[in-house]
Amino acid sequence: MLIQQLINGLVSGCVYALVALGYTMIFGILGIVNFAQGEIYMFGAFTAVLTLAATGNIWLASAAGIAVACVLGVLLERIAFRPLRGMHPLIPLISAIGASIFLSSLARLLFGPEDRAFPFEFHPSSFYFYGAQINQLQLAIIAVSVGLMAILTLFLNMTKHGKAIIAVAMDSDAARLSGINVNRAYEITFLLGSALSGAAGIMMAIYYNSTSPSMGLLPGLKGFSAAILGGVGSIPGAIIGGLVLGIAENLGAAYISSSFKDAFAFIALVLVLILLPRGIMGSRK
Amino acid sequence: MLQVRNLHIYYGQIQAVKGASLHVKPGEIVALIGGNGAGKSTILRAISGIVKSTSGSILLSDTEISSLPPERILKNGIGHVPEGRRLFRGLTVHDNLMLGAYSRNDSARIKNDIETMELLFPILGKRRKQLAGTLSGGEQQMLAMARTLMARPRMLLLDEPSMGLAPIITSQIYEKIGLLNKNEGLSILLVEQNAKLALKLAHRGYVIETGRVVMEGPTSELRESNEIQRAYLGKGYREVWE
Repeated sequence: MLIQQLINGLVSGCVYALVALGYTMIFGILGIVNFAQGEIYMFGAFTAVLTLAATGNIWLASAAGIAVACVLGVLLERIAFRPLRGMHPLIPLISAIGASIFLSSLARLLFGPEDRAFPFEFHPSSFYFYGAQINQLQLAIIAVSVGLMAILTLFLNMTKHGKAIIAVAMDSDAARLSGINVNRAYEITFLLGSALSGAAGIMMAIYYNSTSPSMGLLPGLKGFSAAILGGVGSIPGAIIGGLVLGIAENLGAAYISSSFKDAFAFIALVLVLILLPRGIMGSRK
Repeated sequence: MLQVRNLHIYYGQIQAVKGASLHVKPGEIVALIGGNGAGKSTILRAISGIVKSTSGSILLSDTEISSLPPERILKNGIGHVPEGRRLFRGLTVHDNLMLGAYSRNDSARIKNDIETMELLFPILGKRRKQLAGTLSGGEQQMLAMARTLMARPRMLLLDEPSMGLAPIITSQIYEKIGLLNKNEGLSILLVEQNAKLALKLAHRGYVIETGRVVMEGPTSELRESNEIQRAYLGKGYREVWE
């Protein structure tokens, strides 16, 4: 039972971590909270579902979903955030909420308000591990998430453009004086964050076999909570925060009450913030 | 080489620079001296493109650069070592140097230039894997200069290189600045509170007060001027008091 809940928690935790990485990177470099992250997740999922229905190719569908998420992220930076740079931080925040409402309304118009099943049925085989039933889909989600997080970490720490993003996050004026094009760095950050959210959306559309215009709302909120839980701006913090949140809510649902599943995630957030106000990995100055 | 004409800069409602004009010839060291808030740093920030001027022109070898973004100005050959060093403190010394070469694509020569920097500032070679934020003030100033030099500029803007440093470290830094000018032919525009030091090293100087150039000339003349001696070199106080 415990192991079962840990595995279930790990699966949702990986998804929260992917969304949280988008939040934390964008906050780290621009100091803004991109509340439209959940809608990008949803658009990624819908694009994959529609492409799959049209072509029958799951790889093409996933690529299309991630590509649309990336394009949306870059457009969002251009339209909703770049013109507001240098203004009071509340203004881009309102712009982000506006973008989020706009995108979910747009999805309702384009895709209709009802739930859609994933057009391809997976029949994952399961096996037992110390009494816990694990299926291949869960393993695949964990593996893909870990892979994406590893690629992101390697990109940021090992490549020239990745280090430039870190440099811009540390001191944007010094980065400009070093010849770094900060607008390019902002674009790459939005692109990466959106790609991760899009991938998370596609995986969850497969896992729950359901896609709807409001599917991004809760994962968006929980990804945001995970980013804060881990220490906003910290990459390892976002990953740990996501996993803690996913496991906490599954354990709470299993041992206390399943009808309060979503509440446990936020209770975990409140508890951590009371004990560690800067988050698990946040800098303590 | 560099020509600034009638530069005006506003920060919001406040005018920081009120029609300053100055120039730097190839291979020359020029000092800007003056008190706190006189607008010296703002002039450097406008030349490197970090702040935009309201009016006036900035010409580099007869090309207008005042509307270019900082990365383009750096590519045109002006490197700016900002006040307070502004290193990427959480990254290693080596990473800081590599980021200085961000605009370049010739990786073989970049590697070569890192070795050159480690010869010029041997301490940077010893501290290669250390985080920049853990360096001492003098080491940080050396790294900040080396980071900017990694872009291979023809001209260096130096903002308060002696700030917060012990006199012995300051003279080491000034020795390196002199060497870069003499051996590499690097033109240098130097902003400095320590007027005595700046007027000793530079060929020419400008005195900036409340956003205007109030005096200019060869440093040999400026050093002799009574006004400068009293206001910036701390001489002649006795006569004033008595």
